[in-house]
Amino acid sequence: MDSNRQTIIGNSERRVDAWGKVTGTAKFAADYSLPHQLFGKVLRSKHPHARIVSIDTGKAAALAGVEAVLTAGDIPGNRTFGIVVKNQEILAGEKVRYLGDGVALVAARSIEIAREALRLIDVVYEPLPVVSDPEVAMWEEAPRIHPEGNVFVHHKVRKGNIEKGFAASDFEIQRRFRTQFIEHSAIEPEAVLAEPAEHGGVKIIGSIQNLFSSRRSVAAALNLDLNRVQLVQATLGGSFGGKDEVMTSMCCRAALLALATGRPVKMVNSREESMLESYKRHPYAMYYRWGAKKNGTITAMEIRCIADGGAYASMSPFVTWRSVVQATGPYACENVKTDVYAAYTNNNYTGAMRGFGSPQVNFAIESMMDELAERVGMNPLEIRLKNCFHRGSVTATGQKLDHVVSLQEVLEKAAGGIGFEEKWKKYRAASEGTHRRGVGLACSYRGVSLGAEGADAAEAVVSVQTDGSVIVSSGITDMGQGAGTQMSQIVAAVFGIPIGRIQFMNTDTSRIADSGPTVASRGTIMGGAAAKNAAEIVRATLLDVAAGMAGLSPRELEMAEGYVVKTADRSRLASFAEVAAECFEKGRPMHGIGWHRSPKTTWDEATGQGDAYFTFVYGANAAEVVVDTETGKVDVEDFVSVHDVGRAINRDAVRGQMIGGVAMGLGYGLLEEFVLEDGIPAQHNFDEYLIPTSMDVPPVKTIIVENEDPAGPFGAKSVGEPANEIAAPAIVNAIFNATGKRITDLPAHLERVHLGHALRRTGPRGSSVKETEPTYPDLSCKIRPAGQ
Amino acid sequence: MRNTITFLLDGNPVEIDFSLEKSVRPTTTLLNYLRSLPSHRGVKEGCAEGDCGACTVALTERTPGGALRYRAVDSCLLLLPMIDGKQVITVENLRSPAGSLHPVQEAMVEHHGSQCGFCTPGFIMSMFVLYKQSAAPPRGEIEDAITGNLCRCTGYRPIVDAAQAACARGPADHFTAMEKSVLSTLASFPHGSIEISTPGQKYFRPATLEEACRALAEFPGASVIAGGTDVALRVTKRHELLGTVVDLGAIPELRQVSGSKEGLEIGAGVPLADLPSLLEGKYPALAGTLSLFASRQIRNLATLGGNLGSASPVGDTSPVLIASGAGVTLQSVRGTRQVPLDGFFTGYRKTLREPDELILSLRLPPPDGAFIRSYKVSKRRDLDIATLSAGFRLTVDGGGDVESLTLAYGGMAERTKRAVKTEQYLIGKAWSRDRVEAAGEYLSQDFRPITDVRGSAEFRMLAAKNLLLKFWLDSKG
Repeated sequence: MDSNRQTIIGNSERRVDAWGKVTGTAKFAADYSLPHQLFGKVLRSKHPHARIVSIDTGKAAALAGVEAVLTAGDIPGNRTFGIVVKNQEILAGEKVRYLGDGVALVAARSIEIAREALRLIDVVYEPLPVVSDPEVAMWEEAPRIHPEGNVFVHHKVRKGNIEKGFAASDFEIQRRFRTQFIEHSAIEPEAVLAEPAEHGGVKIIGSIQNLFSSRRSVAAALNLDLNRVQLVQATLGGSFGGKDEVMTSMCCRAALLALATGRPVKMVNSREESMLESYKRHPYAMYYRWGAKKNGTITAMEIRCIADGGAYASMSPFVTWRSVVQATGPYACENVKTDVYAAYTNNNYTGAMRGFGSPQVNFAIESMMDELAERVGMNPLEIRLKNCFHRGSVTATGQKLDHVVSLQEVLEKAAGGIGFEEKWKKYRAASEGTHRRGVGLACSYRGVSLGAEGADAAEAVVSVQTDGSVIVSSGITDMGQGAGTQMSQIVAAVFGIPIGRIQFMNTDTSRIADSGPTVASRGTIMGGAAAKNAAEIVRATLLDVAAGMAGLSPRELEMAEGYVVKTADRSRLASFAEVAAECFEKGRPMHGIGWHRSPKTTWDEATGQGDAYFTFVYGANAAEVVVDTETGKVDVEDFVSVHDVGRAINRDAVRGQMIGGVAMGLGYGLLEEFVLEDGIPAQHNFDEYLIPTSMDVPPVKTIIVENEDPAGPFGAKSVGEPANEIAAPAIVNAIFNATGKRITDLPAHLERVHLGHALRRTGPRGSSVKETEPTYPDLSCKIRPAGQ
Repeated sequence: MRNTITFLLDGNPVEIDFSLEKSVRPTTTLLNYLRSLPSHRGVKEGCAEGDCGACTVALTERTPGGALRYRAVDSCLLLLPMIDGKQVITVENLRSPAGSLHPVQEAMVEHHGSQCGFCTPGFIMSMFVLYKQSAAPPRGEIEDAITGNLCRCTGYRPIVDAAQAACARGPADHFTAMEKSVLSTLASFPHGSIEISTPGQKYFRPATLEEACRALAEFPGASVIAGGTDVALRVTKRHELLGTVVDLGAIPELRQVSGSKEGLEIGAGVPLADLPSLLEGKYPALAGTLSLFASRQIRNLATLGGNLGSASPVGDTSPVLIASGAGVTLQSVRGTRQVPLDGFFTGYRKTLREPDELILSLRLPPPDGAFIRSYKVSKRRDLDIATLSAGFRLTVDGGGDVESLTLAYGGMAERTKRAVKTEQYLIGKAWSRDRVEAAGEYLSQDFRPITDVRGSAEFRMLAAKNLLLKFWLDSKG
């Protein structure tokens, strides 16, 4: 490896997009406008579940300034879309399945007129019974939301024999855990601008996370070839998994209006519209039953999870698949039986959100691990070190971990960073005072990228200009996480030039190959590898040209500090720009197309066995909290986040992901909850849906662990989602250390952590934990009769 | 009377004549106005209700002392006439004339304080105002300055680090050199009352108390704006076309504060942000409450008059003000009257104020040694509407018995309300833990709280009892 790579890789380079963002010149989707544009608005459902009897758009269409009013019947092509199951309607045709369903569209000359037109549309509904609890939805007699039935996912993992495992155990621990709906809460609400194109197609610029999947749906809805639907990503104001299907429907709707009117159509969601329509993180009900020996060995795990899929399938099949693979956590167990279900309800549909099926199970697993520690008289660090995977361990899906498994390292660093063992013992012994302290620990392993979900490949194009500046384009999108900076830094490393010479271009579906979605923390490992491959193709050409200029062999040369240098004596032969100009003169190709396909993964859906992911990352979090036993208020006072990222391409960017992930995890653990009652949301904006502020997030200590992985560019893996997936259990475990009370439902807000006497310890620590059978909900009270 | 407004933007005076400008109304928000301009799209809309801070801009105005005061405000909560006579500074204005980044911008780049960047312009503006006000702010002050800005990407620490680094370089910048000319430009702007009439709307911004009272007498049904943080939501959220508006933001008398033997007289229009320093350490319970009130941007707009006038059932300030024995002065063309705050709230969002009256001021009696505490129970540490709020006052006689007691609660009823039965039970009895625990039962007779998104009835009742216990513990040191 030459010297420039050593210096720029890992360096906290400034973000390539920072200047535009701090000066206000960065253009987000809502900042685009075109002459003669119209404003699009959506009429959404009045009922969580109802048959549409009739829609009268006559009065709205007659309103001055209204240019189009459309309903499902006006869609020329496919009316439905979906990544796995194509059952989500662009506009509801025969029935509505949740309150966010759109039933009609308006394009008007002003937002005010569009809003007025929505009020003039008459929709007659025949209300249907509402199902809002997924466990109720699974019952045979539950009303069906889709004709094929409500249970639409059942993933399994079968390993060993759990009967034998439980028979060999000294005791069992059985618990039910529940998690909540989470709103992504990107500060930018969804926005698009769709423009009829001169070739009869459409061009859409918008706040779109996964442009290629959205494009497929627009093309299908409009009966257009893919090459006539151009989606361009505007600077994206955060996504966290949240600007996928909701953007697909917005793109389809804006495109329909644009082609119907022949004019550009802009659509921007208000925060209320965004919260009402957008999908959320899945709530899970999780039934965990573990058999263990007195020495802390786990002999059997029986796990059953039910995910609330909401009204549409969306990403549920994939989200729940990650859950089933990772449901045991990074802990050795010979006998495992895991079942993960997803069921339709009349709630907001649920899909991708940072973590993607891991934050839920990690909460359960890490709570169980602390309970196991309690039962066998070990501390939470000891029990994890005893059971965690090492290199060569075999996971629940039968995958042998053939890379550096750094769980011990991350756990010890997290514990050491907060002074865990000493504090844990001290706080556990303290029993007086209204403000109690506690420390908690959590760790995880996480499969990198898509795994056996599907094809996993990405493209990047690197184009060197005659002045030595470079354009990098990619099918991997920068949503704010910094993918553009990582890719630019990687290309800069390959060329030995400063990152300031590189311009990163946002994704444009007509100028780059379908690279799959930017999800699953695959940005750096897939996009970065593709960018590296592309740059190396051009580098070979440039070195060949430089070798010709100097009369040397390319093998004697390398690129560093903006020059082509002779490796032997480090002498500078020509500047990068000079070689680029010469390359042009010689008529040699100055651009490279890099393609990266991930290593092979396998999966047997029947047994749940296979090499699910090509590699894994490991992380540990430690939290220290203070609990006010009189109000139930929990303050996180200290936090240590440790992640093995393979190799940090940009240390500040990695650190930013880690701290941001903890903040979001803190919200998950303590504050955030999108509540739906009978399918009707109780939160509408940020005054009711509370995300953490600067006052809630403690100074987070970050420890970056680097065990380079050959699967990633320069050894880099990922950090975006791992950073978010274990903060909540670390906090909840700390609450247990402080109060002796085990929170099994998230969030641990005021009422759950509850009040003075409820938290006052009456016996020795742990005795308040009762072995209770999970209770199943009463069917009768959970189905709201039609019309109420 | 003027039917125009004038303000300073991009270094130039801007005059809006609402009878000529068809694209704006007097109730157009500053956010929507700025975003309609080609050069100010850096101002972002994230919630349009003052909760996310993405639309934060800086307003500068001339203080009575002749200095230039910078304030961070949510532009989504400002109606255009509210910026009359002021300077508006947005993220686009921060670079130096030569084009180099402002120290707060530079620090945000350096510290990776911006990820997706949508919240960044708002943060930059909050940090800019902090930069102009504090040379080396402690971490707590920085966190407070950006509490009104939500970020979902960074976890805030890189932003706090950036603010710390930037402010160490302040407060001088290219704005410093301009201050004199800005002051003289602002002074040259037209003063006096504003009366804007457009089809369907009348907007009064009187400059004198007399005119304000006349306007209220003439239009008793008008929407009255103090800081505007509540009324603006009717425009941005309910899309109401406010027919008649009386905006009390330009009346000097409402911004006066005077102290005497009888206590402190605080003008109803003093921004809450200015109050803590005016209280001079004499009212620590009230000052503490104000520090947890919403966010810096809201406190720069919101006023005590507005807070009390809107009579929110969970107002943060009303319980501690009742406990402090505060009184309200009301003014109308009919004259002036004084009423105790205890009794001022008559029902859900209802007060003793007659439609033609305005709240002139609030009187705080001098501290008399009574033990006063204020409590707020909310899910989030701040920028959160309380589940429960409380203000308590206690005096104990020589024998350790309760001599006098005020227990005012917000969030337990349709209005801020005293726990009269509980007070009566405790008065004359020993101020002991047993008594206080026993008194908790009387709270169930005083209150029948409701269940809503912020808390269940059961939780409210239990928390109310625990706050009483907390008060007892605090009184024992």
